[in-house]
Amino acid sequence: MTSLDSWKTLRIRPAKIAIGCLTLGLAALLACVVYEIPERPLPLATALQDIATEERLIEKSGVGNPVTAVLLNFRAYDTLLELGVLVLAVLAVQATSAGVVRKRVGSGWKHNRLLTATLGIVVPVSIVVAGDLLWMGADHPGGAFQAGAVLSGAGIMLILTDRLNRPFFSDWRYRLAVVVGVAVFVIVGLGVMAVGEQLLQYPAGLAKTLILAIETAAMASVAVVFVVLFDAVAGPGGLWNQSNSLVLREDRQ
Amino acid sequence: MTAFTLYAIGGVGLFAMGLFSFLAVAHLLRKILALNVMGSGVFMVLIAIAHPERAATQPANVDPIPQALVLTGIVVAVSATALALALTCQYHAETGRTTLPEDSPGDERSDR
Repeated sequence: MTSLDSWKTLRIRPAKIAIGCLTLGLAALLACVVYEIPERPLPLATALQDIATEERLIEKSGVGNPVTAVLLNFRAYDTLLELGVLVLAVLAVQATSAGVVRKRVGSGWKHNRLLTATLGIVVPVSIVVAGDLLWMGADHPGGAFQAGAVLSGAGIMLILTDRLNRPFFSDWRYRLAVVVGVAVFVIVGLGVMAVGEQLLQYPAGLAKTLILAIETAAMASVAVVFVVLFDAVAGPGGLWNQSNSLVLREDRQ
Repeated sequence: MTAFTLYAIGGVGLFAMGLFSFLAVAHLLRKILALNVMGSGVFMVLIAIAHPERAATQPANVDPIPQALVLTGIVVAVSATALALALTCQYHAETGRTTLPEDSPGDERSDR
């Protein structure tokens, strides 16, 4: 592929002009709508926030960081379903790659001394940073998803350097890690009903402990899900390498 | 023009650029990239809505709900992108094509 080819893909056609005009119109409309959003909150929102402050909802939620309180307490249902979506994504990618015989090819970087030294620093630091993000997420920006993303970054580096090269889908430990987030969430959510609370309503005093337990499991799930998804699609021997002619080039018909 | 409107209109611009690419480009990988740009635009609008300038009683506080939605959205977008890439790879392995077929079989012209 030459740069000339990629330039040709930008050739102007009547259909593109029509799409461009429609998109511009829509963008102008959306910009007007967004511009009309009042800069100050409406009286109802202010009143609700006053009630939340008066009832000391944040203090009762068990965590001091409002974003974590929303994610794990006030709108815990959303986060529960999100962890379910992660499990579904792994199942769907596994079903998509069923029947693909994986050649366990190496990337050839395993014995690079500079990479080995770098990994020796980056991976332990990632684990410490993930633990810090998880713990600090209770009162400061951070939390399970950020920690899981950092951990998965370390995992992906290990995959790309042939240090983590295994059949993730058939390994029961990885299957367990994929579902542990949603499993712990469901167990806690239903378990609080046994002591007389509503679904996903944490008992007073136990909120922080339960939230931390859920967040730890969610961090493990997020990290492993991202690693498994990356490995299935882009890892050595993954789907991407099976079809290596899939480049950013238009079909020639 | 405050920071809030600047961010929000920037988000609308990202969304529109992604939408144009999504509609105007045939290659499936480019479509996946375009969808991600559209998603980033939506996230940017949501983050702008959570901007401290709009917070009610305490001006230093951000609205946590849009931020939590964006955090959820990013994680879901990453896994959806992985699934889309897996499907695209398998589609390419099966058919050797990188674009979806035209709707009408008589129209052989790839006009997008």
